[in-house]
Amino acid sequence: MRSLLEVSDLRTDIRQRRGTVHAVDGVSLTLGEGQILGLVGESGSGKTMTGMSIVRLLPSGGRLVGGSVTLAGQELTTLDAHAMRRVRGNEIGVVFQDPMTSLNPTMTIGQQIAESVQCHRGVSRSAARARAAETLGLVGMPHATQRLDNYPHQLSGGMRQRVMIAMALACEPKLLIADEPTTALDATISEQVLELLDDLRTRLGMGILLITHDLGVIARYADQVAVMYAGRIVETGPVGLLFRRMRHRYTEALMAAVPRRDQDTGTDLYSIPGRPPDLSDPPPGCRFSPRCRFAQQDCRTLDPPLTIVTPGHQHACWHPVDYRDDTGPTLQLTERSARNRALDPQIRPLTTPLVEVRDLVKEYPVTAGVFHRRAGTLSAVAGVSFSLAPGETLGLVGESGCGKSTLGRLLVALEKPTSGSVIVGGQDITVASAHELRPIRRDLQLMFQDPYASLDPRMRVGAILREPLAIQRIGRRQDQDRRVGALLGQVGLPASAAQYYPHEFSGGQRQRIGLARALALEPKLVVADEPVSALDVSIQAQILNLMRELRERLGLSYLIISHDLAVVRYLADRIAVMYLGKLVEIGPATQVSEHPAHPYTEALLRAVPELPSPSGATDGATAVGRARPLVSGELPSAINPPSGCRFRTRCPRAQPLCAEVEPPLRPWGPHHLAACHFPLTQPASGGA
Amino acid sequence: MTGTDLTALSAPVGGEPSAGGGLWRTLGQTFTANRLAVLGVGLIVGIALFCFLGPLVYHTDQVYTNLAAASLPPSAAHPLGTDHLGYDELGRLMAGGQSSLEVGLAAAVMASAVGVLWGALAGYVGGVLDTVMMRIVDVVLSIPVLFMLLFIATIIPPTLGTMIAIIALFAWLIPARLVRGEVLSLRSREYVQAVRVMGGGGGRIVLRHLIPNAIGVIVVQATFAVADSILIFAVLSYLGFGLSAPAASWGEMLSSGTAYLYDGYWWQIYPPGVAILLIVLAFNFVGDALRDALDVRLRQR
Repeated sequence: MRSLLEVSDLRTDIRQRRGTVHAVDGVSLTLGEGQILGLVGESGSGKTMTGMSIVRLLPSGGRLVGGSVTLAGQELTTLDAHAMRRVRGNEIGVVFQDPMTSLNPTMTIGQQIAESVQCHRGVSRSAARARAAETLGLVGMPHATQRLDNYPHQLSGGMRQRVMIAMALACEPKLLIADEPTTALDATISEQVLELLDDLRTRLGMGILLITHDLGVIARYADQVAVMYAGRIVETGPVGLLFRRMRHRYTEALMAAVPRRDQDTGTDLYSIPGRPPDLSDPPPGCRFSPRCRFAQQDCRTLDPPLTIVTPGHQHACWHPVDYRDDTGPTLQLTERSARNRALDPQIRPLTTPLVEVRDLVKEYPVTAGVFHRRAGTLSAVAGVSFSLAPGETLGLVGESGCGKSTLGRLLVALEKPTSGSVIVGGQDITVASAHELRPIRRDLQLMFQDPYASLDPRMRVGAILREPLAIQRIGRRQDQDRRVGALLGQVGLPASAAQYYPHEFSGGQRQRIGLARALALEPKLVVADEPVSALDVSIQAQILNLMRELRERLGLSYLIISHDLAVVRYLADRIAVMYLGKLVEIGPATQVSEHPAHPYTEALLRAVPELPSPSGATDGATAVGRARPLVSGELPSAINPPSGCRFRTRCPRAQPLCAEVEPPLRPWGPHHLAACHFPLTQPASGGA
Repeated sequence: MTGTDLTALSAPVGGEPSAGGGLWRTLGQTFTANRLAVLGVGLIVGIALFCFLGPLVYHTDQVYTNLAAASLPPSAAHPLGTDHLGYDELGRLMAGGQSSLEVGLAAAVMASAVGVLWGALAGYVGGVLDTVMMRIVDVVLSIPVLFMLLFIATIIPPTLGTMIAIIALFAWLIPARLVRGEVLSLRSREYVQAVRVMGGGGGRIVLRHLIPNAIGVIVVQATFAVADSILIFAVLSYLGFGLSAPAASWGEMLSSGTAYLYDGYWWQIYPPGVAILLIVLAFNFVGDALRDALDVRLRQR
C-alpha cells in the first residue's frame, strides 16, 4: 500500500477578536491509497479544521502556521493560491455535511457537476456534460442522464448528497475529504451513502478522509482511525486494534459514553465531566487532564508525546489503559438496581394507562397555485393507536418524515388531530377547549431537540424556568424562585445559573435547562423529541443518564422520539416503529430490537453501525462486517402513500398481496404487535 | 407544591455557565469597535447639547424681528451672522435644532410603537387578519408620501404636535412590515412552542417572547426612522408647510436662505444645511453600526 496523503505537524491558527485559536495544533496523519482514514472527535476538536487545512479552505482569520501536507509526493503547503486551486476539485474532492445548503439552488445539478470538469480539464460543454452524466451514474443516481437537468430542490436529501459526491468525484481526485457526509441523513440513507463511498474507494483506488463524530460509522467503514481532542491527535491506529485495545483515556471514555446494543439498560453510561477546553488558551500538560479521571500530577504539567505501542498504533497518554493484567478497560460503571418497574409485562395491563391514543389521524391539506387550490392531502399520522402506562418509557423510532414528531406534538396538544382521540386521565384532549386544556397541560410536557432554539435568548434562565409556574399560577413569587433553585439542582446545575442568559451555557447545559423547564410543572409524561441528537457523544451520555435518573426519582413516563435506535433502546421499556404515518411494530424493547418481526424494523436496526464490544477480545470481529443495506431507496411521499402496506415499495420481501391488502397490527407475543404479511418471525400463539 | 422529591443531586455535575455577559454587552462591544458608530453617537450628543444647552449660554431673541440687523455677515456680535429678518443665525440654529430633534425622535418613537404592535399582531395571528392588516399597509404605502403630507399639512394648522403626528402617520408602515416578517419566523421557534405547551396564551407570547426577540430589528429600524423623520420635517419646512413663524426649523432656515442665494449670504445657507447633513448622517452611522452589531451576534451563535 502506497502512502497517498502525509500530514505532519500541521498547525492552523484562527485569529479572532478575543485572541488566537490554535484550532489544529501539530496534527500528523498518514493515509494510503484506497484506504479510509476516520478522523473522529467531538465538536470543536479541530477535526473539520484539519480537513479544511489540507485543502486550505480556511475561514477568515485562519492560516496555516506550520507543518507540511504532501499529496502523492507533492507538497501542498508551499503552493500559491493559483496552484492550490488546481489541486482542489481536481486532485482533492470535498464532500460537505449539509446537502441542503452546499448545492446552488439556481443551477441544475448537471451544470454544477460539469462546472468543476470545465474548470480543471478545459473540455467542451458537451464533454463536461457527458462526464457529469457518467459520474452521476457512478454514484448510483437512477436515470442519471435525465436527472442532469434537475434542480437541487427536486431531489431528496440522500440524492443531493449523492450529487455532492458526484461533484467531488467528477475530476477523479486521488483524495476525497468527506466532512460528516451522512450526519444530516437518516440511518437507512446514511448507510446507502457510506456503502457508496466504500464501494467507490475500492473501484477508483481513491483515499478517503472520513471526518465524523460517529464512532459506529468509523468502526464499520474506516481502515485507520485518528482520534482528535482539542486540536491534537491523541490516539491513532488500525480500526480493529483501536476499538479493542484503545490506550488513551479519552478514547476509552468516548467509547464508554456510547450506548451499545448489548448494554445493560440498568447501568449508567459513562459521561465525561466538563467540556472541551478553550483552544485559544489550552490547559498545560495533557489537554484532556482536566476531564480525565486517571489524571495525575504529571498529566497536568507535562505534555504527553505520541508513543508507539505497536507499529501504526500511537497514543499520547501518560497513564494509558493497561492490558497487561488483561482486565481490559477499567472504567467502573455504576451498577444500578435492576429496574423492575414496567419491565414485567404481566404488571402493565393491570394499571390504567396514563395516555391512551386511539386511531389518531393527522392530515395536512396540500395547496397549490395562487388561489390555494387544494391539491391533495399529506397523511402525516394515519391511524395510530397505543397506550402508555404510568412510569413507562416508550421509544418511537422511524425515518424523518414518518410522522413521529407530529405524533409527539399531537400528544401534548400542540396540534389538533384530524380524527381520533388522545385520552389523558379520562379526558379526551383533542376535543378539550383551550380553557379545559390548561390544567391538563401540567401533566404533558415537551422537551425539544435543539438546545439553541428552545430557550428564549432574551430571558434569564430563572425567568425561563419560572414561566411555566407563572402561567399555571403556581405559588407566590418566592415559592417559584425556590422551585427554580430546586429544579436547577435536579438537573445538576448550580443555583446561580438562574442569573445567566441561555447563550452563556454549552449545548449540554442548555439541554439540562430544557429538561428542567419540562419538569417544572411536575408532569406525568414528558415527550422528548430527539433529546440528544444535537449533542456530542460525551454530553449525550450525561443527558441520557440524567433523564434516566429523573425518571426513577420522579416516576415519570417518557415518550422518546428519536431516529437513533441506540438511544431509544437504552432508555425505553417498549419500542414503537413508525413508517409513513403508520405503526408497523410495537413491543418490549428487547423483543423488538433482538427479534424484530417487521422487515422495516430489521432494516433500521441493521442500518445503525454498532461499536464492537470492548470486552470481547476477538469475538465478532467480523460480525461488525456488513451485508448490503436491507432497504433501498427513500421514504415515499406522504401525499400519495403506497396502497396496501406502505413499506412495500422498499421491502425486500414484498409480494403482490402487500399492494392490495393493508396488513393489520396483530399480536406477536406478550405486548408485541406487528403489521406485516410476510414477517421475519412468526407470532407466538397464545402469547407465552 | 406536592411531595415530589426536590432535593438536588449531590453536586452540580452540569458545570458552571461560562462568563460572557448579557446580549447587550456583547452587542455593545461590537458597536464600540466601530469608529463611525462612535462618531455618530458623538455627533448626536454634541448636536443635542448644542441645541438644548446652547441657548442657556448664548442668549438671543428668536421672537421679535429686527429688520435693521437683517442679513449681517458673521461678526463678533453675531458669530454666524443674521438672517433676512434680523434673527441671530447661531441662536436660530439652536432653536431650529430643538424642533428638528423633537420632531424626529417623537415621530420615530410613535411610528415604531404603532408599527411594532401592528406587525406583531398581524404576524402572530396570521390568516385573514394578517391579510387585511397588511393590505392596509400596502394601500397606505402606495400613496405618494410627500403629496399626502403636503395635503394634510395644508388642512391642519402646523404645530409641533401635528407635525409629529403627520410624519408618524406615514412612518409606521415600514416597521410594521419588518416586524411582521420577523414575528413570522420567530413564532415557529421552539421556545414559543414551549410556552404553548405550558398553557401560555397569545398575549404572553407576543409581549414576552416575540417582541423582545425582535427588539434588535426594531431599534435599528427606529434609528433610521429618526433620520428619515428629521429629513421629512426639513423638506416640509423647506416647502413652507412647516411650523409657523416665529418658530424655527432648519428646513425653514434653509428655505429663507436660498432666496438670497445670489446675494452671497453663505452664512444663511451653510449652517442649517450642514446641520441637517450631520444629524442625518449621524443617525445613519448609528443605525448601520447597530445592524452590524446585531448581525455579529447572530453569526456568533
